[in-house]
Amino acid sequence: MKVDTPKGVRQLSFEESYTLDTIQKIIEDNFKLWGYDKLYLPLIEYYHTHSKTLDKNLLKNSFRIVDRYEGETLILRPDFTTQIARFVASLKDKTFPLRVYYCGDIFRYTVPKADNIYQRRQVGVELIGVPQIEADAEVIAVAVTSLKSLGISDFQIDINNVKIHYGIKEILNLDDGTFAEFMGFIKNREIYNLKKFVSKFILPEDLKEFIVSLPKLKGGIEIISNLKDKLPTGLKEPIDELVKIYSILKEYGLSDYLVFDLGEPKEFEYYTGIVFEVFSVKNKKVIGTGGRYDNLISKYNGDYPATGFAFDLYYLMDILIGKFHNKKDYYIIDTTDDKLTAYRIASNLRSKGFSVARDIVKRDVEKSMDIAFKKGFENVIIITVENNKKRVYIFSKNGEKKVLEIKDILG
Amino acid sequence: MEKISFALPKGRLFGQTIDILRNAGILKETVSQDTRKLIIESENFRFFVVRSKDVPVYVESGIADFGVAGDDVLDEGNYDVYRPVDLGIGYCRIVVAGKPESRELYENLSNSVKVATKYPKIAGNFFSKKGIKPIVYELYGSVELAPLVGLAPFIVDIVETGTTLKENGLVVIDTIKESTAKLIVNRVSYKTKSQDIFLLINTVESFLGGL
Repeated sequence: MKVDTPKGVRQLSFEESYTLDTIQKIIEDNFKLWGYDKLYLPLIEYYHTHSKTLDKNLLKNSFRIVDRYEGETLILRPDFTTQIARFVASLKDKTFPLRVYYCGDIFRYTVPKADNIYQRRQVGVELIGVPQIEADAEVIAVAVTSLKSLGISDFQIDINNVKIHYGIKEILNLDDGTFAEFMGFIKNREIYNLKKFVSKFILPEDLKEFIVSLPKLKGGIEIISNLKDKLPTGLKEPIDELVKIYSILKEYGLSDYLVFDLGEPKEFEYYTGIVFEVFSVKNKKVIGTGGRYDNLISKYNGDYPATGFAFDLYYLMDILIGKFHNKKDYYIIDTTDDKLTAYRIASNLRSKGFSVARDIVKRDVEKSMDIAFKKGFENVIIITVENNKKRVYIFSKNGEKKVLEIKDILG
Repeated sequence: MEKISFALPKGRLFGQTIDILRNAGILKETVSQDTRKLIIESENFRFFVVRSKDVPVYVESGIADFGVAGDDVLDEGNYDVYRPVDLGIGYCRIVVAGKPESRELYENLSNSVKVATKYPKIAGNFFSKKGIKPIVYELYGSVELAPLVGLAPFIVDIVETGTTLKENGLVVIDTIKESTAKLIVNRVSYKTKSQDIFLLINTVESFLGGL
C-alpha cells in the first residue's frame, strides 16, 4: 500500500486541522474588526508578470509549470504581497486607503528538512495608499491584537528601518556587490567582519562605531533615542521614523511588545522602510513578518505606498495545539428498525444549532458509545423500544443519564 | 535564571572553548569531556557534546543558545544562525589538493573538473564561480585515497598541518579559504535573551581583544 506524501509537504491530523481552522477564524475576525476586506487570489500566476518584481530568492525557489495551451511559464503563488500589488495595479478604480486581508497557501522550494517545507499557509493584511508612519503602526497593532485574541502573550516584535542600511550604502558610496557583502555581515551578525569592513573607509569615529555596533543595537527605545545626535543627516530620518512609530504604539498601549533591532536586515528585497518580525519567545519561532514596500506596486503600474504583514499559520498551530477542542454535541444510535425517528431528532437538533452525527454502522451499542465519546461528542442519544414504545436515552460525557419520550425531545 | 545552553564539538575545540570561557571569567569550574556524558551541567551552563557538523543543527533549532563551529561546517550547510565572534581557534585551511603532477592540469582547467570531497557544497561553489563545471564525488572519509586510485584528480578538504597529505604523496594546489571557529548564536535566543547573550559575547570579545 502506498500512502506516502512528498517530503516537502505536511499532512495535518484532524486535531491540527481543527486548530488551524480555529486560529484562522479568530485572526480573520480580528482583521474584520479593523475594517479589512477579504480578497481571494488565484493559486497560479504568470511567471513573466512577477519576474521583475518578486524577491530574487522567492523567484528562484518558485514552483513552475508550463501552460499546455499558451506555452507560458506559470508559478504557484510563492508570496501574497506581490500578488496583491499586481491586483492593486490592475484596479481601474483606486480609492485609498485600501485595507485587504488574505489567507491561503504559499509554495516555495527548499531543501525539505524540519520546518523547511514546500507548502506553508499564511494569513495577513496589506494597507495600501498611506505613506505615513500611522499605517506602519496600524499593521503592527493589527498583528498584536490578533495574537492577543488567540490568547498568546509570550511574543516579541522586533522592529527595524531598512532605510538605515540604504543610508549607509549611500554614505559609504557602496556598489551593489560590496553592499551585498556588507549586508551578509549584517545578516549573520559578523561583528569581526564589520570591524574589518569599516577600517577600509575614512569615516567619523561615531559613524564607524555605529556601523560596528549595529548587530548589538537591540533593545528598548533608549537604545535609539541617544543615537540621533551622533549620526549624519541620511541616518537621522530613519531613526526619527522609529521613534515616531514607538510613540504611536505607546499611545495605543501596545509598545510593551516592541524591541528595536537595528541589525535585522529585511527578509525580502521589496521592503523599503519599517520592517518587523514577530517571535514566539518560548517556542523560538518567527511566527510573523511584515514591512513597508513603497516601490513594489509602481513596478506593475502606478505609484502607491503600502505596508503589511503575514502570520505563518503552521507555526501558530504548533504553538496552540491542544488549546482548542472540537466539541460536537450529539451522536445518535438508533437500535430500532425504523430509522425515521433518528432522522427527525437529528434534524430538530441541527435546526437549533447543535452538531449531530448518526451511527450508521451495525455494532454493539456500548462500542458505539465508546467511539462517540472518543471522537469528541458531548452526548450520546440512544433510541430503543421498550414495551412497544420508543424511548430515548441521553448519556452525557460526564456520566449523566436522562430518559425522555420521543415527543419531549422533538418538542 | 534560565540556563544558557551550549552545543560544543567533541575533540580539541571542546577544550579550547572551555579554556576561553574560563580565562574570560565566564566559567569558574573546569569542564572536561573525559566521560561518555552527552550533557554536562556546570554553573549556569548546560553543554551538549555533539559532532562538529551537528553543532549548527542544535543552534539553528534553538535547542542550544550558543555553539562553536568552523567556517568549513558553516559554509557547507545553509544555517540561519548568527556568528558574532571569531574565536580564532580551530585554525585550518580549506584547500584543493592532488598529486604534484596534477598542478599543470589544475592550471589549465577549462570545462569541467572531477573532485572528491566531504564538502560538496564548498567544492561545488568554488569551481562554479571559476566557470568550471564541478563533478563532485561526495565521500565521508579518507578523501586522500581518491587521487591515488583515480576516482578524481583533486580533492577539497581541510588541512591543519598537512601531514596526512604528505604521507600520501599529495600537495596543496590551491587555497579556497582559511577557516577558524566562530561563536554562533540562535537567532531567537539572541533576540529574546539579549541580556545574557550580549554579556557573554561582550566578555568573550573583550577577552580575545586583549590577548
